[in-house]
Amino acid sequence: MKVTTSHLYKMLFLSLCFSIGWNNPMDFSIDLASKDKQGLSAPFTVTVPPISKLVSDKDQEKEEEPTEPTPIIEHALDKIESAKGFQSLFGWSDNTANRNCPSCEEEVRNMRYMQCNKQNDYLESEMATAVLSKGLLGDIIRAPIKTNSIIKPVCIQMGMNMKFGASSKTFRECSANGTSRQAFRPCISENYFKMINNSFEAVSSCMKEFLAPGGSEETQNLDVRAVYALINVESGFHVNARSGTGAGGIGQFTASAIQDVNANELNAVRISLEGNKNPLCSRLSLELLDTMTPMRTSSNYSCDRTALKNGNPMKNMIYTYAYLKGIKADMDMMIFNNKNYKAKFKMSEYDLNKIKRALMIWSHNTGPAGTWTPAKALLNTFYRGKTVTDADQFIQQMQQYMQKFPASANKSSARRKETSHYFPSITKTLNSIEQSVGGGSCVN
Amino acid sequence: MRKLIMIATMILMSSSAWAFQDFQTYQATDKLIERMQIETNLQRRLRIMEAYKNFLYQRLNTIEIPDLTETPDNDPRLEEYRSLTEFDNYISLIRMRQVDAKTCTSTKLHIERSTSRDGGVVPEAVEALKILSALCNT
Repeated sequence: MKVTTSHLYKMLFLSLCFSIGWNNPMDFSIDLASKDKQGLSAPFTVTVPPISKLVSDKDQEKEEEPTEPTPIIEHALDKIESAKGFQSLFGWSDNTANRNCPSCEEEVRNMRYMQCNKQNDYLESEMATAVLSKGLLGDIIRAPIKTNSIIKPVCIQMGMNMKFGASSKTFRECSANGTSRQAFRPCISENYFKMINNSFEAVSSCMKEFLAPGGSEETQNLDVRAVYALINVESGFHVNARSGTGAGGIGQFTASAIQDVNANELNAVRISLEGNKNPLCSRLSLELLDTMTPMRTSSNYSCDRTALKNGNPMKNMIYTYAYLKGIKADMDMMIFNNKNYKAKFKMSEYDLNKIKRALMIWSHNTGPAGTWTPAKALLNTFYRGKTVTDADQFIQQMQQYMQKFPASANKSSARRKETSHYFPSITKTLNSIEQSVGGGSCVN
Repeated sequence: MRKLIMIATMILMSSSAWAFQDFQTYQATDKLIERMQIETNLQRRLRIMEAYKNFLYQRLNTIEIPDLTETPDNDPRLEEYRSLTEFDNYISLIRMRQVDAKTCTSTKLHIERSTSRDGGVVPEAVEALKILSALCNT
């Protein structure tokens, strides 16, 4: 092999990097949010000169002044400060291994992204600006893709590609003054993918406890999988998807759903996020819910649901979880904790959660009453004097009862068809994605 | 002729806006409202309300429905049962420990928001709101 001067320089540079411990960015872990407050947990020893050599005499005087004692109660703001390093966004309570995906690291490394063109690059400049900023969105885009995230990154990418074709125009491009115009599907560039994937990971890891408080890790992760499947079908994880009915954004929010979250869930979400031990969760609450106005319902503010500047996609994801939580609570009150129906379900906790999850997802499309009515009709007719023992059978029967006993709002033949097929269609899409990524589950 | 078509359309539209027609339920509802208007003790009103909820549950578990596989979606018997079940949902949302302006308003909003995905109060919810109004009337 012929060795040229440039090769020698490259070799010299590489050996220098390795001598100070430069590593693969995937393994590079600066854990600013770690409990021991040491800041760096780098896998190498860094020789730091004594502090006295680095500070001036004046500074040394300051150094000798007694420092204030560390507060015993960690304030939410302190937690946020410690979460601001972008590498540390997902550093807290990180899993050490991919339990369900030994090949995930390689899959992430092999991911390919779209080349943008003039028609679909309209979010790129906003993301490029965010990357340079100190805000949460910038940190989210800069953060490396976590290979052991709750939902496998490859599943998120597949979802983004599946729902709409590149030439679909069911999207809105929002201008700075809040007006919007029809647009093509956004370019699934590296920045765009990282923004969506990392946002979903951040929000899910913080909101799963809110959705299923005290639930086992398996239950909570299956709930996240259900939300993933729901978003896949609603928006294909595209931040600016807009339906003909006016629903918009990641979770396809309508005005009434936003109103519901603002009135009934937002305070509880704040309390949950700020009480979460993970500092990232406090940051989500303070930067997206406290300092920004809640989403507005009027169609004049439709960009609240879709534009990046309003805290999306994370804010829309938080609203999605919050809305589902409200639905779940109502469903418990109406059926699962109701004295007349509670005893009808004779099955394991796992199977009962399966039914609850299905009804929760269904309600996102049908509205709360749209699922209570067929579910109660089923329990009061087919299961009159009988118990429900088979979760899958019950879910299958729900499809027929959606068709036969819809709530008033879903009585038209088009809505009967749409609502009855909603959950089966979500399940079908999820199964198809999970098959495409090599079988198994999209949950890591 | 045009006027006749308009009148016919209005009649059809108004009939589709009806809630259930179950005589026993309407009779029980009228009685409930009457008793609430007489009863001044709010806690007793709540107990009467609970008894009415039990009546509805019993009623839904008494009415027979035809074989679903052989019955078209628009069969009036299915529509009747569907409507009664939906009414029962909104009645179930009336669950308060005490009756005051705050609980009455929040229950009203809860019923209105639950009716459909895009808002709008359906006939079954209107019937439930009449009962809520009688319960909250002081």
